[in-house]
Amino acid sequence: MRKESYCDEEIVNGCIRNDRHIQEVLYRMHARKMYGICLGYAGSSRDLAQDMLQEAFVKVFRHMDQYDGKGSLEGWIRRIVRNTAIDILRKQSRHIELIQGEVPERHEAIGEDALSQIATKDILTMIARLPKGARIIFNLYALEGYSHQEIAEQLEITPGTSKSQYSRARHLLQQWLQPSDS
Amino acid sequence: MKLEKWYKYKIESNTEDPPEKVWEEVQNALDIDLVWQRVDLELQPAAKKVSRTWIAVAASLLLLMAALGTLWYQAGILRKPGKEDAVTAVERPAIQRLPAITGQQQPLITASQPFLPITHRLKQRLLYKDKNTAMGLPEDSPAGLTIPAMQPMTGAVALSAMPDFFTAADSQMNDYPIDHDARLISENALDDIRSHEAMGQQGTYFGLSMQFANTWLRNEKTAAGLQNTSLVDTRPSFGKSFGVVVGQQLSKKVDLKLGLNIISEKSQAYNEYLHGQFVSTRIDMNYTKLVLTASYRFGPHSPHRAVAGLYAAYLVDASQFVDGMDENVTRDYSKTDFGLVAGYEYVHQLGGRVQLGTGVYANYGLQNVFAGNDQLPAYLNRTNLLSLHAGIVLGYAFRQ
Repeated sequence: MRKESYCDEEIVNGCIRNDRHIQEVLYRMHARKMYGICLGYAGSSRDLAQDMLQEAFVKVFRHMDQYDGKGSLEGWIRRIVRNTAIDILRKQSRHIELIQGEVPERHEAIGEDALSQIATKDILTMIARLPKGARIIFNLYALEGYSHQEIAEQLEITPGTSKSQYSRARHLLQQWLQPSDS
Repeated sequence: MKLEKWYKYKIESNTEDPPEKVWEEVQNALDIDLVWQRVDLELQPAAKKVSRTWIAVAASLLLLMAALGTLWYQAGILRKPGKEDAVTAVERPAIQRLPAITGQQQPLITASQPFLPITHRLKQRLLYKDKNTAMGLPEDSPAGLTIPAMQPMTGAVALSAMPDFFTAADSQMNDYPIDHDARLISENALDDIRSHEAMGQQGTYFGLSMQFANTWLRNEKTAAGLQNTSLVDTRPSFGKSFGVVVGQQLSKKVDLKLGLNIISEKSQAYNEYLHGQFVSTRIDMNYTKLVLTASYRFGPHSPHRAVAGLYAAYLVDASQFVDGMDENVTRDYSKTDFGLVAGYEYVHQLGGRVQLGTGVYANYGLQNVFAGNDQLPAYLNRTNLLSLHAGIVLGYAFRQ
């Protein structure tokens, strides 16, 4: 009987050997979390998020021999997932759509209680309302912890654009997350 | 709680599992990889054949480089006196009077008349003007050439320094004294002068080039598209090139040229059935190209030239247009390409130092430019760039 608990090294070696069982173990370990990240980029479009996840894991297994053991395996997989998601969004259209027009009025920070009542699917619905470019920038900053300089380099935009788009996206989300008066 | 923190927590603590079909699709893709690996193993003998082809190409390139090097070396010898020419290129006596020669006599040629430099390899072609008949030499011997006045030469040289010549003509010379007008003439030396003159006029030149090309991305699909029975219809495709050329005349018949095509477009259009529809597909590739060619003149002053050489190209970008939708496919293609060039040129002298070259050239890419993608590995879609160019070069020659 096969064991179900493996260390990273066993998993990496198994995947390089094309051991399908080990590959499945790796997939099951990370699929849910990575799917959440894909949903963040796809903006609630489940079909698109599933395409991202599938393509990313195929890349993970194909290039497992390039994992050098520096940093966590999860971090390495996450990087592939993120880059794949951005590539797929870019392929959909060459231009990154950004938020146009005036910056919305400033809203007060939402309380912890209010936030805790918001379901993941609701935040994904709101994220999906952001233009694609702003959505990517928001995810890279909030989810991945990138600086605006790094975002600018990755998306080939200026740091100023990244900063202003992030700020606009944040304000819009706060506006949408505010509980209605009624 | 900060919005970013809350968002990150919500996303990373996602409780929704992806559907099972995602893992099934991942497995399918991995299975297909295994099939490719097996196909690859089966194709290894073919790969060995390809490697032999590469060895042949590399050998050809070495041969070409050696030939060019030899030409360059020879051109250097013609331009400046070398070690071998030391005896002859220095002030060399021309024949003023050749006394009657006896069998034991060491003939001595004294000179104050202008004379040509002579190299050892030319000794056997030394001729006496107008003395063929008198000396009993064949009438068709290359003789009677006149030469323009050259630098005066002084001194003397013993004919024994030219043993080859006397081996052939010794007996006749002993019987027939040579008169005062006798001149040693080298036919090749005369050619050398003309070559020097030509090089003086056109040693190095610079030009602007423009080409229009019928291009072909030759792979299994586009090749099949030329057949009537195929569902793919390969269409003629064209591209243009602009650049600069620098040339150096190596000898009276051979030039070496280096061209930089800043823009070199390659294109391929075809119609194919895709998802039940007959759609138009076009691939556009923009290269920057370096072309090194040697051109051979059919005569010292002939405007006709044969051209052969090599090119190396760098891919700037590539786009694919399928049924009106465009996609950047630069990643699917190799950043570099190299190949062979052959062609024909006709050079018009426009007057002064300006010349206009027109020509047709065939380019044959030796490299598989398809780098592969997630759907198709590179070796299953071998693609070579072929093109037929018509071009003009407007050149300006610098005097050496």
